[in-house]
Amino acid sequence: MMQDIIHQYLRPSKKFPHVWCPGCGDGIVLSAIVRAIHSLGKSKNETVLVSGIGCSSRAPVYVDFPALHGTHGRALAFATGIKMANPELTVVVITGDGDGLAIGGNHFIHACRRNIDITAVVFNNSIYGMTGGQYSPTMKVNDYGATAPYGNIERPFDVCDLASAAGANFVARATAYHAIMLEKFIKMGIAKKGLSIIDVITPCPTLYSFYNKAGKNIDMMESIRDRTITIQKAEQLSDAEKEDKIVVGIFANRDFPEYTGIYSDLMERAKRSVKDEELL
Amino acid sequence: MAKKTKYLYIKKNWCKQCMFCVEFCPRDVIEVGEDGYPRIVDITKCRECTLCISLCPEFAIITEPEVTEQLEVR
Repeated sequence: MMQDIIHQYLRPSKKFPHVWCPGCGDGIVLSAIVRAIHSLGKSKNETVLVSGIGCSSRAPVYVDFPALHGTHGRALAFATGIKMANPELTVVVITGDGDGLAIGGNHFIHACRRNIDITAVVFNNSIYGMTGGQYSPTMKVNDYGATAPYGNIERPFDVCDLASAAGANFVARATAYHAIMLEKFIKMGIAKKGLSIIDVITPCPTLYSFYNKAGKNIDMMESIRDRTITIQKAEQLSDAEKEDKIVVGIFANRDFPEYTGIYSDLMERAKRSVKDEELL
Repeated sequence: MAKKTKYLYIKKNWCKQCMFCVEFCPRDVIEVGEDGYPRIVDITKCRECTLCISLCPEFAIITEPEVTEQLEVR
């Protein structure tokens, strides 16, 4: 069946079960990414998965695509290099909220600004899971973490607002619970020319739950399900009512020029001007 | 054409007992077994909505007998 196609893509050399905790949403998002790539008919040889460091960034290790497991926060920078060297490739970046927005924050906004044809999936669980529960830039005010024992006082990034403002062509948000919607958004993102950012709210039933008393894995998943509202619904609510909600949907879908296309035009122009000079 | 028989298999050595399949199955096809792992109660109730497969973070739910054979060695 189409839904469990991931079994054909698992890396044969890897030991399973994987490293993620019971009830972690990362496996759900990874299988949605694989289904999206498969249903678009992209072969293993024309797709590259790029990741940084973190729980989420373990994902490319388990699936049999050409992959680059880079340094912390630099996934989008490496991916930009891959795409520039070979624009034919489909590049999918797997990054976390800490990896992509804190350490790699500059790469994130500049990739959006350049609007290069990459699809970035941000696994957003509001916490640094791998290093012991420090708060990340997407943690809500008054949530707790290992480095916020009295509650977080910093306002969080809204990944979708940030990406749309910085100029990405396709920006959407889904959750790990809404796996089928998530698959649809990733598919649209890969098919879209230009940078696509898909923000995925995933549960961290180990550390986030421990510091915030958010319950076991099913409680976290149900809380994500119950807090989710669509963009249309969110427009009718006031800011105070929206505070605790997860707004899902497509935030931006537009056609700004794509970077590798502009770059090859520039190359053509440069070659022509050199030729003209030679003729003179 | 004969309708394909429904098949659902839970690979226990990959399962981490998160119980998403048990909790979110809309037709209660899967329940918690005596050993603490999910167990298929009644496959005839299954409408193949594939929600359990989409929500399984461990890739432990298999829908093809051939795939089960391939993966059982791992």
